[in-house]
Amino acid sequence: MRLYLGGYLNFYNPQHGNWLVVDINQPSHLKEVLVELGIPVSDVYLVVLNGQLVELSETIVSGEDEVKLYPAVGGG
Amino acid sequence: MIYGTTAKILRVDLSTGSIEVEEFTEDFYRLYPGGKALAGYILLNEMPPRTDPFAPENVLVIANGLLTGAPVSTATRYVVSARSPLTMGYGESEAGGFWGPELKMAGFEAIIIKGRSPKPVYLWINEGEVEIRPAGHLWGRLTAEVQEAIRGELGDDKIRVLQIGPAGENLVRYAGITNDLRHFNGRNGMGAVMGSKNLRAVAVRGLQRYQTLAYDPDALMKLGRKLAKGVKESPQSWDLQERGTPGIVEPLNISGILPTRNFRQGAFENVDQIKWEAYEKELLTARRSCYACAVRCKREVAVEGQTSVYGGPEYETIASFGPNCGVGDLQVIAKANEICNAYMLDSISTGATIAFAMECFEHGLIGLDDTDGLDLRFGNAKAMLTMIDWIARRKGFGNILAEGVMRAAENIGGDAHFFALHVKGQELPMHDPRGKYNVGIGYAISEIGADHLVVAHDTMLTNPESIPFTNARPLGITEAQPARSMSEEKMKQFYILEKLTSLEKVIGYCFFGPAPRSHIQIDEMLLSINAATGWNLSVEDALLIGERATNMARIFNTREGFSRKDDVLPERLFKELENGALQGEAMPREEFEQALTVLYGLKGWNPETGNPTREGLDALSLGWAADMLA
Repeated sequence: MRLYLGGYLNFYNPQHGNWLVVDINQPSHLKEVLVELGIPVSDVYLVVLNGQLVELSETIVSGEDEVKLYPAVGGG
Repeated sequence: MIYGTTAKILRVDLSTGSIEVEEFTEDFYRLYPGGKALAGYILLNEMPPRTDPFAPENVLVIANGLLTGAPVSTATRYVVSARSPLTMGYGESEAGGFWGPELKMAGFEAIIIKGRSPKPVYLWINEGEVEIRPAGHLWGRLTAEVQEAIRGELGDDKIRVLQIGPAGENLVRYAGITNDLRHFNGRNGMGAVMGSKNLRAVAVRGLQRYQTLAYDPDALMKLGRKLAKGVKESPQSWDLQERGTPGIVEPLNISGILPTRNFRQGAFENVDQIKWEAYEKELLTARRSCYACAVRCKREVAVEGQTSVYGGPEYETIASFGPNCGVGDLQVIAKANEICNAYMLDSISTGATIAFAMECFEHGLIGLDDTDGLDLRFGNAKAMLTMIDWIARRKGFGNILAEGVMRAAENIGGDAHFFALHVKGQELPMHDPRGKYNVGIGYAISEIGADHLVVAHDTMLTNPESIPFTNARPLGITEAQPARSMSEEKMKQFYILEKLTSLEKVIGYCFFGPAPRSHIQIDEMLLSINAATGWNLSVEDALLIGERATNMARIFNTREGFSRKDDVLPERLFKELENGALQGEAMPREEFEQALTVLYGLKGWNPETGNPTREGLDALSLGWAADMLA
């Protein structure tokens, strides 16, 4: 799975690059994948799965998917 | 000794050339410690109601925050205040950078400028010495040229220059003020007020250090070091350093609230060409900071292959000249930013006004005969750049747009008023309230007209376990609320958060300093105030200072005839968004009106009129101001 950590979620990417490649062998709950990666799910505000805005709690991902995550965006 | 301040205010009358210095007392300081509070007090007490914004009698106040210049990250800001020529109400605009700290180092908290010079002048403040100098040779020149000229003739390239540009000289109603060419008091037309006084610039040099004013300089320095280190350990401030405000373009687009084509739409088809990754690749050359700020959110960019002396476009500018005008070209947006800053126009109002004109053009309300042949359709980047120049110089149709959308709509007539997106005459910033309702309440209720920095945005406080929510808890915020809600609980949050933002404007902190938006915890903010002053403020004490400042601004407007009838939103926001994630969604009108009633009650204002009450003002030690409303 290709995973994009937007905004301050990228803080939790050890490489601080925009994209991570995550090995997923079978369809999995995205939330569990994120917990395993150490990404705070309470700070995930937007989930875009293969170009579609989806709900984190309902999202199942597999190896071919592209996922983009963003935290809540403040003003300024 | 009064700690944390020089306690000195500089008074300049440009009509007579008189220069005076006065000192305030500790009692005064505790109620009106700086920035917004100090400016509000001065405007209320020294300017009669209904003063023409361009008359010599308009009082222009430049006031540092209490902590401005302290060795603490993000404490850099000052306010500029006067009666606004855009809204005809309380005018205010904040900026960071280096100028505010330099003014403190030169020995002053604030400058009160009255009158009108018979000829163009600038002020030169050097280590407490003040001189009014001729500026005829600077009048009409671009801001970069003027900064270089002033530094050259005064023989010191470390002088900090605050100035207007040709737009302010030409009284464009949304002309701003810049310092160091990269930091802007953009909103509310404060540059036009300065221009009306024939004052081109205020140059400052000072050497005093804030630590010498502080009650406990060691504690302040220790906190400063901790906060500087903490920036890289806080995800939010780390992100501001990495991407700055351009980082929010894409997530707002995904959320369906990136203002597009004059707020008709919430998603822009060419967002990939203007989002952060494109900015980083095509424009970015370096990152910069304000004085003593560890966040370093400012961007340096190359425009047409040359590093720009005016810094890079912020999110507001990108959205204003990009999606909102239908333009998906970062080089054009960066050029628009440069032209605005060279002439010193507010980039939000300029882009918003051109977007308004584009919609009028597409609906046939204006044609080529009106625009002097300019094909002002959405997406016409060349026409947009030309129009910025015309607005600044009040040339052709630019002269009509230089008045702002409210007055331009009156001039055009017909349905143009529907396309004029403003509150109290000030153009909407680039956040669509249809996806974050408290932002809409903030637009409506703000004393300066539509403003996006009234409260922390709703989306940050929707998950009780998130970083921003956790950090907001010490303020008394305990229940997470949906972004698209105007419940009573949400209004309670608004009431608290508005006091916090107002407090930041009094003490000089940036919106990107304290929680919930960034890295400075609420107890650290209090520690900084207490270490500077020797006070022992609680959270409630500190928020009261913010509330007092907001109320003074409200009283100013009440005196000018503003009331609940002016706390409105443009009709378009009650209509459905045409595309994006929130396609078909609109602000709910009844809920909005009910929310205002609840909020007025919380603030101690009359729910019917929206005016402050004597009881409410007495509780804020503002009984003297209640007499002004009698």
